[in-house]
Amino acid sequence: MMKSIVFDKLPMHDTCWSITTGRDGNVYVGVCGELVDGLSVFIVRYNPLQDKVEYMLEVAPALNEAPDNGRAPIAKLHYGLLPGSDGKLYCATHYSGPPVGDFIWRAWHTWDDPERMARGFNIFCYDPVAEAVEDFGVMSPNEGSRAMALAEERGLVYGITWPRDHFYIYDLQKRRYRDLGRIGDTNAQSVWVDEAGNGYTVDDLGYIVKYDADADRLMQLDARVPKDPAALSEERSVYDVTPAPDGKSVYGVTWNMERVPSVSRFFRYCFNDDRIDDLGPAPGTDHSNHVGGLIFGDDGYLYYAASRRDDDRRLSYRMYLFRMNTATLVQEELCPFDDGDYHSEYIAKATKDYAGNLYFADTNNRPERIYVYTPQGSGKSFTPRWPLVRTWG
Amino acid sequence: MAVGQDVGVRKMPLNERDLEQRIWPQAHFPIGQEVVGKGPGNNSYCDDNGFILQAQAGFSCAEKLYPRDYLESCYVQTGSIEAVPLPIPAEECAISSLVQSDLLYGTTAGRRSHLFVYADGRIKDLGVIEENCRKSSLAVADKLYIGTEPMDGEGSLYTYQDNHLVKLMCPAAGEGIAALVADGDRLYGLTSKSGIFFIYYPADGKLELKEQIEPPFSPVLALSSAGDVYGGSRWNNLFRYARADEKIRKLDVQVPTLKGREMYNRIETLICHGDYLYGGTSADGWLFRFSLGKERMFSLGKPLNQPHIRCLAVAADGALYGVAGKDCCHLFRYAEGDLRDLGIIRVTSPRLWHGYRFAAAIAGRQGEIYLGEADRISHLFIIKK
Repeated sequence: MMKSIVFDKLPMHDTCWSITTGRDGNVYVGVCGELVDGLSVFIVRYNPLQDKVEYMLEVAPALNEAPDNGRAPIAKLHYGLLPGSDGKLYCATHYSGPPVGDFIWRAWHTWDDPERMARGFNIFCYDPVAEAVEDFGVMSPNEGSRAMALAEERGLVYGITWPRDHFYIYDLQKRRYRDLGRIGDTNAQSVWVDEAGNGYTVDDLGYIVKYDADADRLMQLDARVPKDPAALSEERSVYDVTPAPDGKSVYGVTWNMERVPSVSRFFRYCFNDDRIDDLGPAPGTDHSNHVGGLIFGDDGYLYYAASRRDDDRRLSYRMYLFRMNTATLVQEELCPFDDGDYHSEYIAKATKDYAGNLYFADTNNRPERIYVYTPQGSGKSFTPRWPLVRTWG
Repeated sequence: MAVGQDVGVRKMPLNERDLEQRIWPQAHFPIGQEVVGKGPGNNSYCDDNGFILQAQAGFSCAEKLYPRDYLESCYVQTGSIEAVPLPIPAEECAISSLVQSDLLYGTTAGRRSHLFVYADGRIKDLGVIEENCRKSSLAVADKLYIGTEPMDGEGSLYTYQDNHLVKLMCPAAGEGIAALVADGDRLYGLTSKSGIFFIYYPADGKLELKEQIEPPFSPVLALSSAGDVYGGSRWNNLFRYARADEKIRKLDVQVPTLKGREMYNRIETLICHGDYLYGGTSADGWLFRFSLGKERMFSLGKPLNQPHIRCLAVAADGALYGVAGKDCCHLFRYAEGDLRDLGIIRVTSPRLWHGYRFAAAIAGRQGEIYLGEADRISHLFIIKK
C-alpha cells in the first residue's frame, strides 16, 4: 500500500498542483482551494527526515491580497513552485477559485469586472531559511500563470498566462516583465528549460515553442509531440515533462486538453537536434485518460501516474503508479495510488527527496494529500545532491 | 506595495491551532472521497461542470444558485462562426484592415506586413509589404492601395498590380499613414504624426498636401456616398472635407465621451453607411451615430464595460456589428435602437480558438461579417447569421 501525507489542517482545500523539493531537502507543496470560494493557496512543507508537515505560508495575505476581498482569490500555485540552488523557491500565483460568496468563477465572464476580476498573477520569492517573502509584483492584469520554469543561470523565469496563453519572461535581476505574445489557445501544462537556459513549451497543435535566449526570439519549431493515431483532431499539448538523467533531453506525456478524445502518448525531446521520439501510448485505451507525475527514480526508471476509468467518480479516474524502462520502453504497473483511506482520482506532478523517495501531488479531494512511493533500493540514505529535481513546475 | 519590495519576515510555520480554529468556507458540492456516485440520488448536488454527484452519507454543503449555462454563456451563441487561419507566420499576421472588392482583401501588421486575399474558403498571401509595421490601411479604387505606418520612420503608399506590390511614394517625411480611403480617381489619407490630410492622384502620381488637422486628431477617415471625407480633429470634433469646394471644415459636433474624458479619447473607428457615420471611441469605448443630413450626433451607448470600439461594419440587413474591448473583446450588434453584447467570439472546430483582439471588420455580400483578428497568431473570422 502506498503511504500518503494528509494536509488535514486545511480541510477545505482541494487540489495540489505544484510540488517540488527544495535545496534543504524538504518537499514543498502548493495546497490550493479552487472549488470553494474565498480561499488562499498555502505553501506546505514536508520534512522527510522528521516525517513532519509544516504549514509555512498563506500566500494571498503575504502578497497583500485578502482572499475574501470579493475578487477571484489567489487560490493556486499552478506548476509555479520552482526550487533555486540558492535555497529559495520562485513562485507564480494562479486563479480559478470563486470570489467569496460565489459558486463559480471564470476569467472570461469577469474580465473587466472591477469587483470580481483577478488582480493578476504575482511572481514572488519564498525563502524558507530566512522565512521571508519577496514580492516582485503583479505581472499581467487579470491573468494567472499556468506553468513556469526557472533558467537560473540567466536569472530568467519563463511562463505562460491563462487564459490568453501568452508566453512571458520575468528577469529576476532587472525586475522586468515581458509579454512575448500569444502562442495558442489552451495552455500547455508544462514549460521547461535546457542547460543553456532556453525556454520551451508546446502549443495546442503540439508544436514545440522555443524561446531562444541568445536570439531573444520566440519561435515555433517543426518538432511536434506525437498524436494518438486514432485521434481525429490535430490538437494536442503536453501535460508533464521531466528531465532525462542525461541532461540532454526530456521525457514528456501528451495531454488531450480534457476535450480531444485521444490516448496520451509518451515522447522524448532531444535539445540538440530538436528531435521528438514517439515512445508509444500510455497504459489503457481510454480516450479521456490522464497521465501525470512523471519523474525518474534513482533506479533509472521513469515513474508516472496513469488513470483507469471509473464513471462513479467526479473526475471518472482512478490513478495507478507505473514505471517505464526507457531503454526498452516496457511499461509496468506497480500499485494503485491508494493509502487505505482514499484511492486518488487525479495525480498532477511529482518530485523526489534526497533518499530517492517519490512524491506525487493529488488533486480533487478534501483534505488534500501527497502520496509517497519508495522504489526498491531507495529510501535508505538521505544524501544531499544538487540539482536533484527539475527547475520547472 | 512597490514592485520588488520585501514583504518581510513572517512567522513560519503557521500556528496549527490557529488553522484548526479557523472558520473555513463551506463546500458547494462533494468532491473526491465525498462522492459515492454520479446521477440523481438521495443526497445529490450539482458541481461546477454541471454533473450531478451523489454524496456520501452525512455530507452537507452550502449549495448556491448559479445559471447552469454559465460556462458557455459568455460566448457568441447565435449564427455560425468560422475562423480561417492565415498562411502567414506568427508576429506577422495581425489583421490591420479589410476591404471588399471583387474579392476580400486584407493587410497585416507586425514584424512584417502582408497583403492577402480570401477566396474559395482559403487565404492566400500576396506578399510582404514592409517590415516592422504598426498598422496598414487598405483602400480600393481602380486598384488596391495600401498605406503603411511603421514602428519607426516613414510609411509609404503601395499599390497591387500585375500580381506585384509596387511602392508609389512617401506622403510625408518621417511619418506613416494613419488612414486611407479611396474615391474613384483619388486617395485621401492622413499622416500619422502631424495629421496632414492629403490627396493622392494615382493617374499622374500627384500628391496634394491639403492641411494639418488640428491636433490631437483621430487616426481615422470615412468616405460618404456623396464623396465627402470625415474624420476627427481636436477633442474629437468631427471635420468634413467637402469634395464640392475641396475645403476642410471643422463641424461643431463632438463625439460623445464620459464627462471630462475628452482628452483621453480618440475616434478609434469610423465608417459611413447610407446617411450615417458610425463610430466608436478608444478610452471610453463609446458608440455613436452621426446623421450626415441633419448634422446631428446620437449617442448609442457603451456595448461593454471595457474601453475601445475596435471595428464596425453594417451588415446587409442594416444592423451594425462591431467589436469592443481591450484584451478580451466582445462582438456587439446595434439595430432599431437596441444595442446588445453578443459575447466573446470563439470557435471550437477545427481548433478551439478565442478571438481576444480585433482591428478590422467588413460586411460581406451574402450578409456575413468578416472580422480581422489582430493577435500574435490571427485568423479571419466569418460570422454568419
